[in-house]
Amino acid sequence: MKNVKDMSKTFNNLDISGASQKMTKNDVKPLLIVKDLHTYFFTQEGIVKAVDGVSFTINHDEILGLVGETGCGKSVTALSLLKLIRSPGEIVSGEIFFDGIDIVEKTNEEMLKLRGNIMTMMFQDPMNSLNPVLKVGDQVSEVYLLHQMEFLKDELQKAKEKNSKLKENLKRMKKELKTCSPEGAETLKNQINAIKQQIKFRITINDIARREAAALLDRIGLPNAETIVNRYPHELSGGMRQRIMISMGLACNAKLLICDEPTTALDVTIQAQILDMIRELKRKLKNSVLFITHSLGVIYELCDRVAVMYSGNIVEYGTVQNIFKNPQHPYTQGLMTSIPRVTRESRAQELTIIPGMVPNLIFPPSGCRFHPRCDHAMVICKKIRPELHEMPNKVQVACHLFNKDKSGEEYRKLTEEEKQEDVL
Amino acid sequence: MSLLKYTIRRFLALIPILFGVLLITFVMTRALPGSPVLSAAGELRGESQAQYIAKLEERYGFNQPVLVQFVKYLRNLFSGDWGESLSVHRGATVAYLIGKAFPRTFEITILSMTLATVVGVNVGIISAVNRNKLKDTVIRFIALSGVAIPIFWLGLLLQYIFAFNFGWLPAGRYFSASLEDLEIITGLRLLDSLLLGKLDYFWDTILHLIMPVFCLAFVFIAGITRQTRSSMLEVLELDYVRTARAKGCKERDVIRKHAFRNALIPTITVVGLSFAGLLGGAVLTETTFTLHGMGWLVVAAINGVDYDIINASVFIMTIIFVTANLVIDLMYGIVDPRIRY
Ligand SMILES: Nc1ncnc2c1ncn2[C@@H]1O[C@H](COP(=O)(O)OP(=O)(O)OP(=O)(O)O)[C@@H](O)[C@H]1O
Ligand code: SF4
Ligand SMILES: [Mg+2]
Repeated sequence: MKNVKDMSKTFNNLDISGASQKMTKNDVKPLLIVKDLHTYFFTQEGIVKAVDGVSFTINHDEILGLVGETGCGKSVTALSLLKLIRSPGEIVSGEIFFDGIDIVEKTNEEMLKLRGNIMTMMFQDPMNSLNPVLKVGDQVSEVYLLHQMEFLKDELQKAKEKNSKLKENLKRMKKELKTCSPEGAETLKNQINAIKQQIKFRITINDIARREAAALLDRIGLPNAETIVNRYPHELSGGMRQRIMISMGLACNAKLLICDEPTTALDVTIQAQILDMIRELKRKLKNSVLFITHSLGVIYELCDRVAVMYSGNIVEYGTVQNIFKNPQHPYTQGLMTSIPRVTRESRAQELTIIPGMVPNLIFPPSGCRFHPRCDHAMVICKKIRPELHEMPNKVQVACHLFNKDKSGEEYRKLTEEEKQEDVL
Repeated sequence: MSLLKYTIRRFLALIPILFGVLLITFVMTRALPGSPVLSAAGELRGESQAQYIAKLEERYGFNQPVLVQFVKYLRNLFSGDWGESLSVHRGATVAYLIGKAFPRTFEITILSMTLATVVGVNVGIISAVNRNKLKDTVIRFIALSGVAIPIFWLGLLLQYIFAFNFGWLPAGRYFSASLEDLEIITGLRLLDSLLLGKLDYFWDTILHLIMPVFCLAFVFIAGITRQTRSSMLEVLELDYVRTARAKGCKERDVIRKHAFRNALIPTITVVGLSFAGLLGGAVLTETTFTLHGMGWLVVAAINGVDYDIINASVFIMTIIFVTANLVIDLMYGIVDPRIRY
């Protein structure tokens, strides 16, 4: 960015402004653009509209949080990005552009090259997300074997060369041993033994991949990585397993890391460690993260921007500061007041809960899906689904409360009975 | 090391089981109506019959209390004397009869279970991967018919088509009458003929075994396919399989490397128990194809109330079942590292 500006200043008189503009634009172009994504599951009970018109972008070097109640479609959104939605689910419509690549149009074979490589996902629940019958080292090294073959082959070559050099050395020393003096023989024997230990009988690409895996585990701070690679998942603690999961996400330098509630199953201290780790890694690698969670607290600590999801839609979307300072959508407000805060004033305040139930996604409420549970619900909310609109503080909110002209019958508040009328 | 301990413990547990099973069969066979002595004395009448029976009972000790007989039987059994046939093949030792029948059963079992496992597992996976598509539907239809069709009916049908109509295959028995004189090394005819280098005997046995082996395999393929399909379907939806997909694993590797081993445990159980069951003799198949294996021997022994053969067969079957269960349990441990002994 800075370079571009300097350049345009220097060459101000020349007609390069167009070019520089292009470059600047290119620079701030988001890494991921999701437009009006619809992912449905065609089940026997009916069509589950799990993601119903979701749009957001993730910029380079940014952490976007995705927050919402259970079942609101966070994981389905994330899986859609990798095209991992399986039958009976399907991306019905919408666009996903990742780094200029049209994901929706990609075939499965083409996706294989992207998944785990330039965009990768780690899952909630480390307990079930690792294969119980494979050693963790093999599960991590698999990523190298899938996506970094070139690198591994180079390393293999180097290791083989080193090995044969050692062998030559060994031969030479054995020869020397025959001719040398008895005093020298002792030290020479020791040297020979030391070399013998380093020489490997056979080196395969799998060995190299496993070595890289161990090195990676070591780098993310797992103690005794050498022995841990030979363990099975059930022999490790939850925190260790989560680190293994994370390391699989890091084995390749993914541009986008999708974390689906990576900390839910862990206790608070481990949670904090894992979050620290993600933050640290992101700073080092300068990649982007989509962080999915239930917890607004985590979002506040970790993310740059946040999208609040409710029942398959994004209802509020903007920078973390703005949204936390001034939540505007009634659902976001509800979420905020339902997190406990430990300050003196807040103790006096009551913790509120959002009344009602998570909506049915086969027959979702009409109009604004939140209306059966919203304190401000109006007649129009039942009829028309609100679109995201930019508020003065740059936050986007989907709610009829912020319509300009709110006179007329359409804006009469709904009674409780009216709200519940067509809820199934 | 704990594995060895575990195995030894399981074999020690075999002793009371064997004792119990033997006691029950011993008492029950003797409580049955009919007696081998009676059928042996079949032609005689009146006074001479009574004398003859008394003589035989004296000789075999049937006039002693049952428990005394049992203890004597046990003593003989463990010293290697398994008794003597009374009605099936009068005068032959039980060890000889079983020694002849068991290898045949064993040979058929090995062949048909290998075929059934290889085909069943692979077809089951194909079926699961193509869930609800045409392939899957066809496979499920065939598998269901495999479970539903009675094996003797299938055997007769095959014989009718391939032996009677086309004359391509021999209709029954283990070998052609002219090729009976094969020297016995292991008792497994295929193996022996190969070891002796007699390829005509080998080929002859193969021709005889094709239909019974196919028949038996068909039924077990059905079971194994259905089991593999259902456990595979379950595993394919699990979180770690999704992790593998998210890594960019090809679907083939997802199945081979990540899903298959996890789906294997129920299949191992089915295969192992089927295997053990078959070793005890496939009564219907052996009858349909006139193969004189264990199934045939046991049925003949029961019909003729041939005490010693019944007892010895039950003894062998018990050992086979317990061993099979042990092997199954050990296999679990190989497949799934979470299972330790
Ligand atoms: N394979 C499927 N078949 C049918 N419905 C599905 C399937 N997968 C997800 N859904 C539905 O899609 C909706 C969204 O699920 P999703 O897993 O995205 O929720 P989530 O926001 O991640 O929840 P959580 O916080 O509990 O993980 C749910 O109502 C779920 O029932
Ligand atoms: S649109 Fe209406 S129902 Fe929906 S959140 Fe806004 S006020 Fe509530
Ligand atoms: Mg989820």
